[in-house]
Amino acid sequence: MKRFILILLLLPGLLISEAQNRKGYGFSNVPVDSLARFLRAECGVPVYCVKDTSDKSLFSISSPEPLKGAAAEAFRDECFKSLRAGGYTVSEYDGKYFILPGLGLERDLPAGYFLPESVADDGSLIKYAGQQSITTTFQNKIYEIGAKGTGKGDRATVSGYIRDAVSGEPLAGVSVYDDRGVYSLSDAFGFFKIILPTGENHLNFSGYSLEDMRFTLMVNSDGGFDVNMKEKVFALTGAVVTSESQSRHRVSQMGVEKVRINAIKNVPVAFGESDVLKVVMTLPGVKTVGEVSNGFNVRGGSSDQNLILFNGAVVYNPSHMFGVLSSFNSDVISGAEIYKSSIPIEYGGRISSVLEVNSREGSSKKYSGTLGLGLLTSRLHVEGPLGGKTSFILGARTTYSDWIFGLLPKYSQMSDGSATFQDVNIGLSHRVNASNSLHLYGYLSGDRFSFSNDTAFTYNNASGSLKWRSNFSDRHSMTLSAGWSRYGYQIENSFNPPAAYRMDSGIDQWFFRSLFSSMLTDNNTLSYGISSSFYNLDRGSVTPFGEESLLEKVSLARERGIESAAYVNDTWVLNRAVTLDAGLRFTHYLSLNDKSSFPAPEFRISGKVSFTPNFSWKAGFNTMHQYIHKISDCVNISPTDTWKMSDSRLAPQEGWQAATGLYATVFGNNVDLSLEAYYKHVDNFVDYRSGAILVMNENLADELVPTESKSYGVEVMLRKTLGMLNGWISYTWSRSLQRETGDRGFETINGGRWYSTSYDKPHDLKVVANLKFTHRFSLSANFDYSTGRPVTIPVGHYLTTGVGRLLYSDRNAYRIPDYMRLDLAMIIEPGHYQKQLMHVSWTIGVYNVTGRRNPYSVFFTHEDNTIKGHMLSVMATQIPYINLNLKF
Amino acid sequence: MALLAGVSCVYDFDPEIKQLDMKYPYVIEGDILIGDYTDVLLNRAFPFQSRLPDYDLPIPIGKPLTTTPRYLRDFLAWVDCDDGTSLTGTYQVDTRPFFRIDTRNLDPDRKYRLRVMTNTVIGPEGTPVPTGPQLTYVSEWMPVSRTSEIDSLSYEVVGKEKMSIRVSTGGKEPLEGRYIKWTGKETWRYTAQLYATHQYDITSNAIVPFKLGENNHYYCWSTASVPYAMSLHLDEYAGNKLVDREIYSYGPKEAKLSNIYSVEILQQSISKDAYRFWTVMNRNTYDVGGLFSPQPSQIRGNIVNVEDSSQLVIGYISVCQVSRARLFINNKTTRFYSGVRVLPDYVIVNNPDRYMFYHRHGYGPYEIHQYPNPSQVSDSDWDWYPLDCLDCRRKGGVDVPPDFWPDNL
Repeated sequence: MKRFILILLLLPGLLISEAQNRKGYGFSNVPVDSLARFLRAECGVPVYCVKDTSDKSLFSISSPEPLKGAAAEAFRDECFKSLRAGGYTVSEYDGKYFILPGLGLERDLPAGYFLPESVADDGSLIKYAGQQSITTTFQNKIYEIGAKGTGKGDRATVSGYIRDAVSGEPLAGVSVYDDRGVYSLSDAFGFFKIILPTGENHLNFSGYSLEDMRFTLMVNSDGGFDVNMKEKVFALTGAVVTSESQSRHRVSQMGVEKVRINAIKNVPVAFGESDVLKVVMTLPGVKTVGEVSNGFNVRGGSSDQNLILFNGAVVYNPSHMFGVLSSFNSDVISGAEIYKSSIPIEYGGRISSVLEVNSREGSSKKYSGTLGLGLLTSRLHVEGPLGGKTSFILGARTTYSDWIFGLLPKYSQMSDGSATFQDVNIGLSHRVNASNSLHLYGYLSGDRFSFSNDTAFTYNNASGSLKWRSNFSDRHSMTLSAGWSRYGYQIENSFNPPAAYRMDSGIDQWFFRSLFSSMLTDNNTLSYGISSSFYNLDRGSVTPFGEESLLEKVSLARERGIESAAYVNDTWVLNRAVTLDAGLRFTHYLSLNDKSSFPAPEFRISGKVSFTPNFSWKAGFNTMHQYIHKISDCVNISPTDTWKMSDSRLAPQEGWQAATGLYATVFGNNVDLSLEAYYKHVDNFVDYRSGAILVMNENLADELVPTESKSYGVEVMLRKTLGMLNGWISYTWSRSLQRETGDRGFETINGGRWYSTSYDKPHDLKVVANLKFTHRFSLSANFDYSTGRPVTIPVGHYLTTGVGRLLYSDRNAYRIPDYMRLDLAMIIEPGHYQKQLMHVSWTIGVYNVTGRRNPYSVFFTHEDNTIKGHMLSVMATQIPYINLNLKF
Repeated sequence: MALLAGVSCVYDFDPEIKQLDMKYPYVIEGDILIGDYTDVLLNRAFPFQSRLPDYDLPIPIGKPLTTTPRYLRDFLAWVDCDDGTSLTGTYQVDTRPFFRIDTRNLDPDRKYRLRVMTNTVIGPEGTPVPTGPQLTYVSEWMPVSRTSEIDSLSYEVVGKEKMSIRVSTGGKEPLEGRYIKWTGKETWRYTAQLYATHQYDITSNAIVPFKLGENNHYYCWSTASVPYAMSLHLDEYAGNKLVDREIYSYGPKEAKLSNIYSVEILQQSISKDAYRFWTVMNRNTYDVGGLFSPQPSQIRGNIVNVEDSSQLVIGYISVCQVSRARLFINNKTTRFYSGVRVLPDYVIVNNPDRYMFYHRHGYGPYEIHQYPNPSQVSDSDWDWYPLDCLDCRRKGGVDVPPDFWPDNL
């Protein structure tokens, strides 16, 4: 191999020196691939070769005459003769010569080679290749891309879809690259596009838990190339978060993490319910205020600074049962992607992050489904084809925990409580033709819970979205999406019948988003588009609840606004080592209430330098604006939250983030190491003044004070993706601080000094490990440690109105105790009997193995003239669980 | 959530709290009640680790002496009128010490404020005498909020779970103001566990019957503030009146309801800022610890230190008229109270030489011991019980009814 590399490096000089040898024209002692290059370069022979890497043969051929005309043909024939003597075959096909070890080139493909829907039945390979994509599962062939003679240059675009060989489901995140380092990544639709030099190319496909594939392509001109990939049958992989090493070192984006569905299903979580959000929270830079919390915090940002998208539609409350489970049914999603730093140009409107969760496409080949039975929930999903071009996927979950409440002792004060939720997902995918596909998604969920029989909380999420994906040429593609999402929440309180009320609030959002992508040159891709959202915010209404209620209906004025953006981004691959991304996003928000207008430019810049194929450095800078704000004095996303749009009295939040990182893949590409550092600053960050009343307040802006926030930190991640033992370790050191910018005299929060945000947890260590000791049995562990979050607690007490009251500290001046938890799970996979009608898998585990009483919150009461401190621990003991999954 | 309920718990939490690097703030109470008396109370906040004084003078029976009063006495207070006049008052002691200013005859069309000077007492010549660094605190100037009359004050037993105290107002005349605050002073009669007919006479070392008319400390009265300063926003209610609006409630095990319970409710019309203050004050006190509980935050009110406005002082002084109403609830009528009082063990003392010993250890005679065999019964063998069972004053009350207590109750 070393010799081969040396020859390659010296080849240009070698060729020149040999060609100009005054004693003759030719070469001596060169391997077969050098011979082929010589023929192409000096004799103009269209020759391609596949070298037997074990072959050490060297060839020496010379001609006394310059290699032109008949002399060149004679020299070519002499070369072919020597090659045949050396065990190679030389096949001629369509004026091109193919040098192959052993058997010659097969001109006809075996019967059943193409998938039925992809095969043109005229029997003409050339015609077929020139008209539509090749679909392949075999690697040891040469595939012709494009019709010969139609190429317009020395480059051509190869594009296509990558699908699962069994289900036909699109595979996202598959790395596509040639031997020279040209790189592409399949998108959510399984679509990839790569520019290759015409002629012979080797194209590699590498994806998480998929068999690596390598193809030899004969690229004539632009053309399609679809690939069906198989799951690694013996892959000893499990809990793996992948942004594959290949992609990590080749793109300039940073702060991006992908969570695969396999990882989701193998990380132990409370009650054994697979949960994408719980896995996202194990990633560096992602934190939560408690183990039963609806939101999450990314790099020191508040929970409302995360744009959570489900099939493109915004999700305002991503949780069920106040945070025990997420809203995303793991049976119907393909995975999740979180952007902490380099936010894609088409997304905006939130300061901190974008979490993109997408549904899977239903199988286009066969009907299948799963049935899951757990302690809290049951779930069912079915999928399959609807005709030749359409597939569907349908998932539903419900809970049946109510009956357990009756078993609780009366003193628990929750025996009258209840908690229910349901959600339904539906997805329809239709391939109009090879270049166009339509995707329709629907989601509906409802939650209702109460802690006593006189107060009930309800919230619901609903969304519908339509995506049109089109590749209207080999270098141009388009994704259009439009839809609607709604988040509504209600509180019913009948504690005091004359004052019983029902409070309703909600957000409706209509959106349109477009993204066009054009490959301007081989190394330059332009992405651009426009987007717009219309917000209709019902800030709240109170209506009498029950016949005895004396309340009058009160409704706050609705808020409406339009957020629009136009954006353009250029990805420029300078060379194999350097890639730059530069984007400009012009955003505009118009409040339809007071006609206030907020135009603002945003910049997205990132770049990477690869020092070696496995070691790279990246840096990025983003600016963001946010026009919708969650106003809450609760650390959690709660039904009592109030949402508010920007207007003349509440300026948009303005943030920027600078980040840099080092990435290395070591130990035979088995271990990824990353080190990222960031600094983020936000102006017009919203906090509430002491004693604020936020619920049903017509003049909410009066309760708010402008602050600025800064957050900074270092994130380290070590990830092992393959082998019996795999998983990741992430550690984050970070701070998140804010301070009031105005001067309100003695009422200024903490005297105008910097203070910790409610989610400032400096140390955060997470370990996820999966030991797959046989193909069916694996053991998973999850360890979580973090500094306790800041709280405001009493520093003294006093009497007023004859009642003991608490004197509170400066805001967030203290912390609750640190958090630490270990979970273990045993996963028993089904056997690999293909003809089995139903595959059964079990998950048996224990959440919080050590039974540590981790604090969710601390609070204080005044009892017997003293202050009594209390700590609420939500998961205060070991929680065993068992889950049964049936796959049919 | 069911499982959550099963696995979630509340544990004791004892944090390390740093002492403030400043004096703990003053707390000033004393709404200026136009047409009534204005009672001003002053105390100081105490450090986290300290215990608030349990009582003020007079020290209840059986309670140890205290050196730290609940309420301060060395201060003066004035009600300033925007016409330049000021009224001051006198120091008084009821169940707690307070400074009373007669504001019955003040003009309701003017603005007023409260002014308090700490560390000051009135000297023998009637002039202020400092007892320490004198600090002056003033509330903001405020107009008088007109308050509507309370139409009725009633109670209702809701199921067997709740005794609801309710108020109606605005039925006779349109309600004044948009925000109402209710405070209350509750007085309840209770009994000792045992009705003692005899007592130990220390001078004769004998058990003697109570004399005719002598108080055997069976009935006592205790007084406290209603533990909820309830406030509400009237705009939320239909018809510009309130009918049977619950202002607080008790459960069936509340000992105050065991015999006869009385409460005097004060209704005040307050400003929006005052409403905010009391709402947040209650929220900080009672709505804590839940999954969706708001984060507490310190509030100040409308009082400032004249010399240093940044200094923290707690309190909100409203200027308003007041309406009062009183209610009596007799457990014989409602049969609501379901608490159980368990008698402690008694001792049989059959030797007069031991009387003094048990007396000193807090016991008293109740009845002659009843042996199973009547022939064994002896006049010298008495059951002695802890005095807490025999003398109601040891529960903190007094054995004299307050002035307003009807003779027939």
